[in-house]
Amino acid sequence: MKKTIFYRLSDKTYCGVFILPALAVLVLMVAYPFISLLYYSTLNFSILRPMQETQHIGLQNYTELLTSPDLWDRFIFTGKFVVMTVGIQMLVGTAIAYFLQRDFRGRDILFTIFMLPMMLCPIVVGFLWRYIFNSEWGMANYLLKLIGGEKMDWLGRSENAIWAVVIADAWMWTPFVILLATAAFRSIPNDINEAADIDGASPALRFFQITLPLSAPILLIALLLRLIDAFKQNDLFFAMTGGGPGSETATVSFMLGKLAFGHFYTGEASALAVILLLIITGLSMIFVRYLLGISQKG
Amino acid sequence: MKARGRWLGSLVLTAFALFSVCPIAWLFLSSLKSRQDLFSLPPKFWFTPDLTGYAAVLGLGVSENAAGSVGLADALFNSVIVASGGTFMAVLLGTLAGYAASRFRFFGRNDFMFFALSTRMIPPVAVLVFYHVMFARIGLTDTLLGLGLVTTFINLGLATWIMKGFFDGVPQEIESIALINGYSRMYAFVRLVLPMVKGGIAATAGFCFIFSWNEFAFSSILSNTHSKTLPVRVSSAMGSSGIEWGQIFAGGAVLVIPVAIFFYLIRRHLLMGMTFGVLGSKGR
Amino acid sequence: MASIKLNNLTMRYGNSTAVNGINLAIDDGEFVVFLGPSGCGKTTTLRCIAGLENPTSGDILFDGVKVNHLHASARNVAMVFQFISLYPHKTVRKNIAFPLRARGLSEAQIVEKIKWVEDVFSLSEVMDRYPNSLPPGSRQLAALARAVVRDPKVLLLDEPLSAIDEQFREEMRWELKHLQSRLGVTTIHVTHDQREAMSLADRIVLMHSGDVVQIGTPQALFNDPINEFAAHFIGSPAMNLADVQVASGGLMLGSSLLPLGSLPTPLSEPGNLRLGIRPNHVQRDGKAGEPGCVLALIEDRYAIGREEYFQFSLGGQKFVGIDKEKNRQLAEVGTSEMIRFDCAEMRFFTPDGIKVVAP
Repeated sequence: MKKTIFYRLSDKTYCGVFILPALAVLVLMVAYPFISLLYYSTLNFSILRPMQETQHIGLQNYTELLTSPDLWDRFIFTGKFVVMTVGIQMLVGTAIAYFLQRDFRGRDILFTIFMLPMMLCPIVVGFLWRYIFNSEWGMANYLLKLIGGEKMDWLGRSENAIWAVVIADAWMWTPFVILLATAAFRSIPNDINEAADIDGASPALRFFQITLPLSAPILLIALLLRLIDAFKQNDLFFAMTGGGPGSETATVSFMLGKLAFGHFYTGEASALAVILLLIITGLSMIFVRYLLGISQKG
Repeated sequence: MKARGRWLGSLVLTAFALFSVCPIAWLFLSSLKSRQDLFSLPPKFWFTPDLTGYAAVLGLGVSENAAGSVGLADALFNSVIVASGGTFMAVLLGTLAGYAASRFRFFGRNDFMFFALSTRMIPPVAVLVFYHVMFARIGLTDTLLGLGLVTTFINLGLATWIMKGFFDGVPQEIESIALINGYSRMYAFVRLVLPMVKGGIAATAGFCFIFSWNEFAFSSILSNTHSKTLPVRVSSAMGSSGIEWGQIFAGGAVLVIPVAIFFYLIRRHLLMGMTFGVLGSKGR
Repeated sequence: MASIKLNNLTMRYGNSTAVNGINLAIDDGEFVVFLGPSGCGKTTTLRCIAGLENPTSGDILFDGVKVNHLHASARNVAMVFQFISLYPHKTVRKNIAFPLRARGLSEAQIVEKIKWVEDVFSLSEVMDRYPNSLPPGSRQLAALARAVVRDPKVLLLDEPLSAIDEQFREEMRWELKHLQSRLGVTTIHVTHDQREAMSLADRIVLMHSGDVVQIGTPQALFNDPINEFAAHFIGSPAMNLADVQVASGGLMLGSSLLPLGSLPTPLSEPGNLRLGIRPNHVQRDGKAGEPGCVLALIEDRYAIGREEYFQFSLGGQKFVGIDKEKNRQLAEVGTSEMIRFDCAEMRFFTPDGIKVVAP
């Protein structure tokens, strides 16, 4: 056997060398923006007027944001949106995965069909649904009239618009949940399913008492990822409602975009970004702690 | 007893399949409509196809305004390079990091994993400005290298997590045996362990590619004329003179086909990759 | 409790036949062991009885009633698997309660039944623990408890003791036998371990390559194997098997003559046969000239447990014997001794392995 240099390297070296590139990229790409974020959130800087005097205003951006009733409205709206879309995704996704458990001819093809919406470019999806929900020429109202309903103003009124975007978002991302749930269900050892059968459990009982509990870790990861993405959702709102009417359908993330690239209030945008990040990170940490708890028990 | 359950299952699956497919079919159909046909009441199902949308997207034909200054071939090329390159790097680095995280109990391992995951939590809008500034200083704006770097970054966290999960499913005895027999760890890694996680690599590559291919936010801000990718080009159909719907739909149709094909090829690996190592890679 | 009958049960996968037309009748309350090497079809047969697999052809009857068409959950059988039997995310108590809940028993009934198995299986200490925190022995006991708590017609065990450490296995065997006779439930136990089969079974069904080789009590299989495979498979250490030629006065092994007093009937004609004799019927207390005695060179000597083994060759074929008396001096490698074969315990097989009618 050739004694190459690889032999003389200790495990510690291997570990370091293997981790380093990834760590470097992550830190590099995170460090500068994150530090900038923190720094700029204490200024009233605007990228449009770099020459103008920028003042260090400490936490003023934060206090302004957190005491702005409009922002709290945005938070509530975002919360509503997130709960609605993720709720639908999880319920429908899990249900579909349930029905996909039994093998039948064409299951593979059907599965690929289910995955299609996830593969479209999000902007395109936004425009597609905007077209569908168009009050004059859209398919939605056409179908509504066919079954005897009234034509609705989907995108112009915020109480309808939220549903429109929820439908579009759930349409696009439920496949993700189906994918994970299917993987989770399939990873349950067959012996357990057979044992449940022999014990006399009905398919429903087996699903709720055995399949779901054993899939909990993966389903929770799915939930976490969907929540994170829902908070970040921008493309759909951008294409479908533009945050309107006014800013009634603007999520916090959308507001962030407007501050950063609409008004170019870089300082304020950074502060808002930090707040949003804290929320998302906080939620995730709670989840991961809880997830670790579940995995230990199983 | 079983028949009733089957009926319900078929109904639900069929309904959802229709719900999934119809909008896409509508997308393809609408991409062939002229402007009048698009906005007609009631919606038209039969019409004479109008290919101006595709023409504009594909860079043939005349319409200057919304097609943008980048031809399809260029945008396609850019997209392929950026998505493939970014995916390749993300998978490569993620595989190495995932292996280390799986095998070595190093200080801060759990924190590292959470950190990797947290990179996915950043809303692009929040950091776009700073990336722009950072790139401008280094001279990476409007370069494929810059976009590739960003793509790698976006996907690295996910890649690390999925690959760690797969490595967790490979028993450590395999390397132990090789080490005892006098082989180096590198040998064990490359010749023994890697082949066993081929499925995981395929799954990771699949996801990263899909996410990279459709990525819009970073690409739009960090590219200008030379490195524009497909999604950005398609969105430029939102020109100042209104929305060129035909182009958008045509662009969407063109965008989705490579992804769909790619996905169909690796679908079995994708299923295995989604367990994220929480349950290991047992089962079928 | 139920009696089981298998009529011509056949299971084919594509071109290969896993189970080849098995006919079998099991009495109510009997402890039957399906024994055989890997791939002989014993587990497949068990799964057909359970309802987890559909036989290609043939019938399965419980108490005379065909159950082929019944799904596993409707047959009222209970099964304990080799590895995973308990639901890992439920406590032992909830595990045992599960089949009862599935059948819709009332809360009071469930509590009562749980208490009953808790006593029978001595599980009080582990009732509220999770399966992963228990040693394999306790786990399988709990799995057994869950199996019998609902009074199944048949108890099916698929190598339940294979994953348990050797030292606990014997203990578990006793427990299993004891519990089965106390509960009186018809039990089918699948194993490849012939010692396990010998100690547990009322009757053994010996299988090989999808066929039933022999059915009988452990004693019958030990004393009277129907062919060479059965002879070799049962009994530990394995039966000595050698080629011999019938000659006047005895058996020829190569150039050595093993004298037999009176030739047993099947040996009346000269020819080639296979001789089978168990090591504990081969001793070192032979006297020259007497039937079954022959001089041989001791080639090896070793001890397993309390037993002393010695090894020698006749006509180039190896034989193993066991010293019965412990007081005798140990065999010395390299010395020749008079070996005595117990003629009454000799078994003969045709060259292709089928038993020749015993003397």
